[in-house]
Amino acid sequence: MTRPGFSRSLSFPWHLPLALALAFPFLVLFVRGLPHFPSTGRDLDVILFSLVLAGLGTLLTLFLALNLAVLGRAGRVAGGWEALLLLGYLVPPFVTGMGLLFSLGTLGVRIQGVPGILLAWTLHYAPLAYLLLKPQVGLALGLLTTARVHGATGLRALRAFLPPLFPPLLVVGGTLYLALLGNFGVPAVLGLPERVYVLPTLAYARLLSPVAQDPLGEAAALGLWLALLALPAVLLTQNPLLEAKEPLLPPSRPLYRLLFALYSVAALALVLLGLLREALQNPYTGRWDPAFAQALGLPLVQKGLRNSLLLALVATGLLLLLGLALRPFPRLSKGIRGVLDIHYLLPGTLLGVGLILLLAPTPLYGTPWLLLLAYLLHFAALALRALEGGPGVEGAVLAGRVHGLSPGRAWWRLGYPLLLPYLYAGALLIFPLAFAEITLSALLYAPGAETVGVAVLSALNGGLYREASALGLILMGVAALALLGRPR
Amino acid sequence: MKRLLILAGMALSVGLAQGGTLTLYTSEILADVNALVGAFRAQNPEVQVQVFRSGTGEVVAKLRAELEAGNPQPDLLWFANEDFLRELAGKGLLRRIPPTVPGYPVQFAHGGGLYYEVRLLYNVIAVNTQRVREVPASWRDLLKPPFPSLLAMPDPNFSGAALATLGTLSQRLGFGFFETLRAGGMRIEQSNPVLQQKLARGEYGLAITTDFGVRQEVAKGAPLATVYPRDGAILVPTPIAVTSWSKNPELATRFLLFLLSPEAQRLFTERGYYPVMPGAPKPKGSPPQVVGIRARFADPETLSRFNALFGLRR
Amino acid sequence: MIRLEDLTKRFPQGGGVEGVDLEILEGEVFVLLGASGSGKTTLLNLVAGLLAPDRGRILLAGREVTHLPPERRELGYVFQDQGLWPHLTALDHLLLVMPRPDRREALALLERVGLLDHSHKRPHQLSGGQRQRVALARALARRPRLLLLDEPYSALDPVLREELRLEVRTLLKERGTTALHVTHDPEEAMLLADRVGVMSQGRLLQVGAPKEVYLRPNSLESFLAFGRANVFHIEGEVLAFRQEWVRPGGSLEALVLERRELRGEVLCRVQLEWGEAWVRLEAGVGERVRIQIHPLLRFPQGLPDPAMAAGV
Repeated sequence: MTRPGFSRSLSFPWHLPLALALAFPFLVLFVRGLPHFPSTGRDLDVILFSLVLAGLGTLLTLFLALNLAVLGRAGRVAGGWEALLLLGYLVPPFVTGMGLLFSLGTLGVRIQGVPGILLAWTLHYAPLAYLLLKPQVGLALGLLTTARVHGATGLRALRAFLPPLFPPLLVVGGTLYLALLGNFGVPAVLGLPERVYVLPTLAYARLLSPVAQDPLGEAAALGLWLALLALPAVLLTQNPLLEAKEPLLPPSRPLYRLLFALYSVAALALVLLGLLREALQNPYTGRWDPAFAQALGLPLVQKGLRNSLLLALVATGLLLLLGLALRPFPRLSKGIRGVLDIHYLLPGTLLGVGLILLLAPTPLYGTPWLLLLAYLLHFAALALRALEGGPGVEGAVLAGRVHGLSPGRAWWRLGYPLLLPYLYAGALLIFPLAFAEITLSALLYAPGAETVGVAVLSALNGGLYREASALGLILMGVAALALLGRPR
Repeated sequence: MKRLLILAGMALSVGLAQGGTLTLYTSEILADVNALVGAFRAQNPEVQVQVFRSGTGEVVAKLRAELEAGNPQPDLLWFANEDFLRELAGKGLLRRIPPTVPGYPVQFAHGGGLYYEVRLLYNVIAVNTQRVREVPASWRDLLKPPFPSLLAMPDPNFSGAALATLGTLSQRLGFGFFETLRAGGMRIEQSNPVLQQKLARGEYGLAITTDFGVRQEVAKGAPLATVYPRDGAILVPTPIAVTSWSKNPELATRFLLFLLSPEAQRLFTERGYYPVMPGAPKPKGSPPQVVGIRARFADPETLSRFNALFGLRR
Repeated sequence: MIRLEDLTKRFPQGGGVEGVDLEILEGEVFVLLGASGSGKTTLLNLVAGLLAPDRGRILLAGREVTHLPPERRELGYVFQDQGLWPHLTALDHLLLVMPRPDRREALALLERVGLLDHSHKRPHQLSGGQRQRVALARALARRPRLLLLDEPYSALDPVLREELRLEVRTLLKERGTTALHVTHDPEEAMLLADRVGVMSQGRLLQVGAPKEVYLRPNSLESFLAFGRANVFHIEGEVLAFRQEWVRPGGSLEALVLERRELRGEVLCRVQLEWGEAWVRLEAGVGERVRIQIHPLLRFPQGLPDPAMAAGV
C-alpha cells in the first residue's frame, strides 16, 4: 500500500547515499582486506566451520527458545520469571562463557570446545530468541487450540502449529545467526584452548600475530568473509509477521510455568554459580572474601562506570531517537539497517580499525566522541530492528491523518506513544550491551576516559579474575535494575 | 554549532599544550602504570599524562592504523612486541636517547638507546605445589614423565612471551624439545593470565609462563611457586620507546628516565617485577640472583612448525 | 459535494476499482453495496487519500483533492475495525481531531452518542458498540465535509447493529452530514441510503434510489446484490424474482415442501415448474397453492459474478 504524502516526497531513493555513507568504515576495511582475500583460501576450513557452528547454534537456540515460548505462553508466565530468564542475555557473552566454565568446573565437569561453545551460545541467546518468538508462538498456540477443537491431535495438530511459525522462525533465526557468527567472547574463552577457531577469533589472532606482514589487511580479509557469510541473513527482510491479536490460548498449565521457572533458574545458576564463587570466595584458601570492594576500588573502575554509564545513556538515547525519526519511512529505515547490520556483525576490533583508518586525521580522533560514534554505528541496527515492530502503529497514524492531523502530529500523538513498549524493549536491549561493551572500547576509548569494558578487560589481562567476576556480577545487577523498571 | 565545537576543541588543545601533555600507549597492567604515572606527576605536576592501555595486539593494531592514516598519537610506546618496535626503529620512527643513567646496564638500551628495558620480566616454570611435589629444576627436566602431561604454555600466536619461549627453547634445545612435550601431553592456552588462573585452580600442575603474574597470584594465596631454571630463565623484552613524531620529546624523555629512578624501580619491585637497576631491592619471595637468557623470538618457520605440531592457527 | 471521475486503481494481485464515475450531493447519505472483494473499500481509501489512484480525479466541494494527502481532505472516517487509538480516552479522541479543541463541544457530541458517562475510558474499557460510537463521534468531531463509513456495524451483534444504524442515520440527517457508506448488507443499504450504488468486480453497476435499484436492477449482478433471490436458467434466459415478490392466487402452481417462520413473515420452500424456490407465502407443508410473481425479471443468459452469487 503506498502512502501518499510520505511516499511522494521520498521518491528519491535517499537510503542509497545514506547507506553508502554509513558503510564507509566497512568500505575502508574492504579496500584494505581485498589484496589478502585470495590468501584466505587456506582458511576455508575455519570459514566453513564458522558457518556450520553458527548454523548449528542457531538451530539449537531456536529449538530451546521455541519450547520456552510454548511453556511461557501456555503457562501464562509473567513479569518476574521472564525477567529472570532475560537476565542471562544482558550479561556480556564472554562473562556467560567464563561463568559457565567456572560453574561446571565447580561441579567437576569439563566442558570446552564445540559442546562448550554451543552450550554457552544456547544459554546466552535463548532469552533473546524467546523474546522475539513469544508473540508469534502465542498466535500459533491459538491455531493449535483451534486444531484440537476440531479433533486434530498429536502430529496432525503440530501441522497446524508449526507452519505458521516458519516465517517468524526464519526471521528470528536470521537475527540469531548474525549474532552467533560475529560473537567473539564465547569462542575465545571456550574454543581457543581446544583449538576450535571461528572467524572472529581467527581474525583476532591475525591482528595480533607477531609474525604477520600486514596484520590489518589479513584480519580485514577475514572480516570480508564474515560479511559474505552474513549476507543471506542480512538480506532476509523482516517478513510481515502474523498480525498480533489476542489469540485463543489453551487453558493455563501450571506445570508449564513450573518448567519455565525451573529452566530460568537453572540457566541463570549455571552462569551465576561460578561467578558468585569467584567473586565471593578466595579460590585458594576457600575463605569468604568478597572481591567487590577490590573491584570497585580499582582506580579505573569508578571512572569506567561513570564513562560507560554516560556513553551508554547517550548512545541509547540518540539511537532510539534516530529509530523514531526513521520509523515513518520504512523503506529508508530498512535500507539503512541492511548496512548497519554489517556493523553490528563485524568484530568490534575490525570496526574499530576501520574507524581509526577513516578518522585518525580528524579532530574527532582521540576524543570520547569517537567511541560514541562507534557505539552508534555498532548498535544502530538493534535500535532500528527494535522499532520495526508495532503492527497497529501505521493504522493508528493513518487514522489520525484521515481526521486531519499532519503527519508530524499524527506520529507524535498517535504513532510514537504506541511505540513506547518497543522503545522500552530497544533501550533494554541496547543500554546493557553498550554499557558493558568491550572490544570497541578496548581500541577506541579516549586515553584517560576508560570504560567499564576496558576495566574488565584490564582486570582479565592482569589476571584479576575475581575482580572481573565481581564486575560481571555488577553488570548483571545493572541489567537487573533495567529489567525491574520494565513497564508491565 | 560546528564552529563552536572547533573553537572549543582549539581552546582545549591549547590549554592542554601549555601544561604539556604526554600520551602513552601501553600494554602494561593499568594499575601498575597508574602508580608510576602518579609518582611521575607528583614530581612534574604541570605535565598531563594520558594513558591508552589495552592488550598488546590492540595497541599495535591501533598504532598501525594511525600510522596508515598519517596521524599517530603517542609520545611513548611501551608494550611486549619488540619486533614491532624494531620495525618502527628501522623506519626511523623512534627517537634515540643516549643511555647516560649511571649504573644502567647498557645492554638493555637497545640500538644505543632506541628503546629501553625499565624492568625485567622472565618466563619461568610455574608450579602448582598441591599437584606437583617434586619440581623440575631446568627446562630439560620438563621432558621427564609425568611432567609433560601436567604442563601447559600460552599460545605463541597470541602471546609475545610465549613466542619468546618458543624461539629461545627451540634454538637452545632443538625443536624436538616441543615434539617430546607434545607427545607427552602438553596443552596450549590462549594467554598467560588464563593459563595462570587454570594453573592456580589445579587444572594443570606446571606451566611455562611469566614470573610476575605468578607472584601476584601467590600474594592472593594461590598454591603456586616459581622455578627459575638452572639453565636460565627467559628474559622477555617489554621495552619502552619515545616516538620520533612526539611533539614533546623532552617531556617523554623525562618520563622514560623517571622509570629508571630509584623511586620508580622500587614501585616495580613492590608489584612483583625484577628491577632493571642493579642496586634496587628484589621482589619478595624470589631468588636474589637470576640466571637470565636473552629471549629470541621464534621466526615464522618455527612458529608454523609449532602450529602444525599442536594444531594451532594463525 | 463530491465527484469521482473515471477513478481507477489496479493492484498487482488483482482487484481494485475500474473507471468509477459518481457524484454525491450535499447532505446525502450514499450507500455503496457490494460483496467483499467488489472494490468498495478500495474506493473509500482512494477518497480518503490512503491510496493513490492510477487514473481519474476526485473533487470535493468543487476542489480537486486527487493528490492531496489525507489530512488536507477534511474527512471523517469510521473504520470497519473502529481504528481507535488504544492509549487515548474517548474524549481525547475527539479533542485530538478537532481543529479548535473545545471540551464542551466534544462532551456535547459524546452525550449525543450516549457516551457522556464513558468519556474518560480508553477503548479496551468500552464494549464493541461503545467503541463504534467513539469512532463515529471522532469522525464527526471535526465537522467533516464528507463522512466515510466502512462496514461500521459488521463487528457488532445484530440487535446492537439495528439499533445503532438507525441512530446514526438520524444523527447524520440532524447535522446535515454528507456520507459515503459502504456495506455488503442489502437491508442496511435499503434502510440508510438516500441513494444506493451497486458495485461488482471494481465497477459501479447501477446508481439510484434504493427502491428503484431494488425493484428495477439493470443487471443480474445488480439484482443479486440485494439478496433474497430466486434465479432460474431457462432456455437462454434468466428468470429472477425475490422471495417477497410472490402473492397468492395466479396461474403458477406451487407445492409447499418446507415452512419457516421469520419475524412476522412466513417463508416456504416450494416446488415450481422451473425448480425449487424460497418464497414469502402463508401456507402449510404439503399444500398445493396457486401463486403469482410480480415483477418477474428476465435477464439475458450470462454467467453471474460467482462472488456475488456466493457472497450475498
